[in-house]
Amino acid sequence: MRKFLSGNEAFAEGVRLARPQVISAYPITPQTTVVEALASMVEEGSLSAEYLHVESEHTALAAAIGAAATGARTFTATSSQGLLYMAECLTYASGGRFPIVMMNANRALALPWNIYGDQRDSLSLLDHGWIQVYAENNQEALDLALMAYAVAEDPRVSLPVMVNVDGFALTHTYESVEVPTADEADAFLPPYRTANKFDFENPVNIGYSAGPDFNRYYQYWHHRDMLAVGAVVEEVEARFAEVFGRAYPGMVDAYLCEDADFVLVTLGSAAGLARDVADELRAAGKRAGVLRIRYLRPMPDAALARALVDAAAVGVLEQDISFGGTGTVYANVLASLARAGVARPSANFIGGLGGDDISREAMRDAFARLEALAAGEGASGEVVFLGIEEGEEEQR
Amino acid sequence: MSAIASQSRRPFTPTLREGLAARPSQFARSTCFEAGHLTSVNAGWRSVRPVIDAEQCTLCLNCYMYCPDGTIAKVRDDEGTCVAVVVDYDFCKGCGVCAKVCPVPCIAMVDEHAGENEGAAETAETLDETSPSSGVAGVSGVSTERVPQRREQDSMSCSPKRGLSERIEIPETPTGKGGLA
Repeated sequence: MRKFLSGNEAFAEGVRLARPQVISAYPITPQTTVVEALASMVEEGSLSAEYLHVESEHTALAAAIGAAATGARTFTATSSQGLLYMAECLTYASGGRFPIVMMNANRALALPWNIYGDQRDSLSLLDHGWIQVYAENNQEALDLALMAYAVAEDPRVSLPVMVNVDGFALTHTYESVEVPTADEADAFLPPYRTANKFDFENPVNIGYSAGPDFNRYYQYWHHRDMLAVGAVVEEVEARFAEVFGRAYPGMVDAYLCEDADFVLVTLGSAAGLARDVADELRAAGKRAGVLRIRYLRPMPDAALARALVDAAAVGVLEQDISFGGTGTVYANVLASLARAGVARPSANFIGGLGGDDISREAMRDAFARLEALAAGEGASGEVVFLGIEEGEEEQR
Repeated sequence: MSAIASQSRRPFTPTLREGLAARPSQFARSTCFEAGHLTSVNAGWRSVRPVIDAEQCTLCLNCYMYCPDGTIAKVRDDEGTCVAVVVDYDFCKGCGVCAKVCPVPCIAMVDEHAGENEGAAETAETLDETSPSSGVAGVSGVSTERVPQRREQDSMSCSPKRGLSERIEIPETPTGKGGLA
């Protein structure tokens, strides 16, 4: 059934269809309406779940971990400072191999305090062993709610998934979304079954410590199992297409990259504008391409290299900065390309911070700089903050 | 020489317990593994150990449930029925919770190094430096096994009060508390 839904409402529908058994909820802008929608569903009976209203985000994830340890399918959601507050639990969830699905409404980090959308929250936590995927629109957000459980709970994976949805740009923006039926969802996603749980009849050691003698094996296998996620994503998306009729392109979404002279890499909803501008450029005879990274962890090395190997210049547009370094996505992309032996002139565009709009003009400027780099002009490796005028930088 | 100083400091390093046939690729893909495969012998700082009197044990499983380290296991017969509970001394820390929650009570907390101390007099001194030694151990015996006395303040609300036909006095320890302190 087609409905006009905000990103949060759409995600809540996806969660309802996934039939989580335990939801631990703590509100934070711009996630709040997800957990509110889920509360309404539980209240009215359209979602049968144990709904825990906890007192903090740290508890929200801790409770989800506890519930997952009993073998329950669990869900929680957060954003920004809430994600950072529960950060110490992230490694308990991932190291414990609990397939929790968490929606993160991408939002800026304090200080200065800001409730609007950017991607610093999730991008600052790439190392904590969670699968991280970024939605571009509300349909994808809903669909990812279902696919995330399928990927997470696959026995070859058994890892938690963070589904990132741009704060306000998606969470509070209304789009026409196809909401599947419960039958379709049940056909796609079976109940969660695992041996990784408390059981009086089959007692287990669970959540134990591992000292210097064995610790490295856990980290090694966690890493190895992350590397296997790409293949699982492909299988899940193929099944998804069969059941729901919507096909997703795997770890990355490449647009006009095959013959592109210059490609802009980006995450999330900004990709829509990037493709619009790329179309403008193509109409003017310039070969622009856009690569939207969907799954950033694990790093889609092979897909990236494949999409970018023929480009003469690569840019990364992201909504974060690792202070004193570069944008995190840029650092990841460069490392990926370097490992593949693909070195190209590049530029890092930092935009959309604190909910700042990325304008069409700024997008055109970014592509223009890439076009110049592709032609051998301009310095490679620059970090460019969109919206900071030349001259403004020098004012104190 | 006080008991504490005379206790041998047994070093322990994490070691794979004998019989653990699992390879890292089997157990290292989650922190959940079949019970009973504790890989490190990890009990070197115990000063008392629980000894369960199997004849008095009612198999209520309180000790099994309450042990914070999960070191008490069920012994099952061929049909799978639990016939006893046993303590895994490779991992037991001697915390005494099992003895505390046993409703009978039939778990004694025994001096870990009783057999290693020289002479019974020293043994008696390790438990009580103020009163003359009395009770089950006596001066001549090395064994310091005690039947714990159930005191009013120890009663668990979940367990029925049982009067012992014979109350045995446990001498005050240097801390002034009973044997279960």
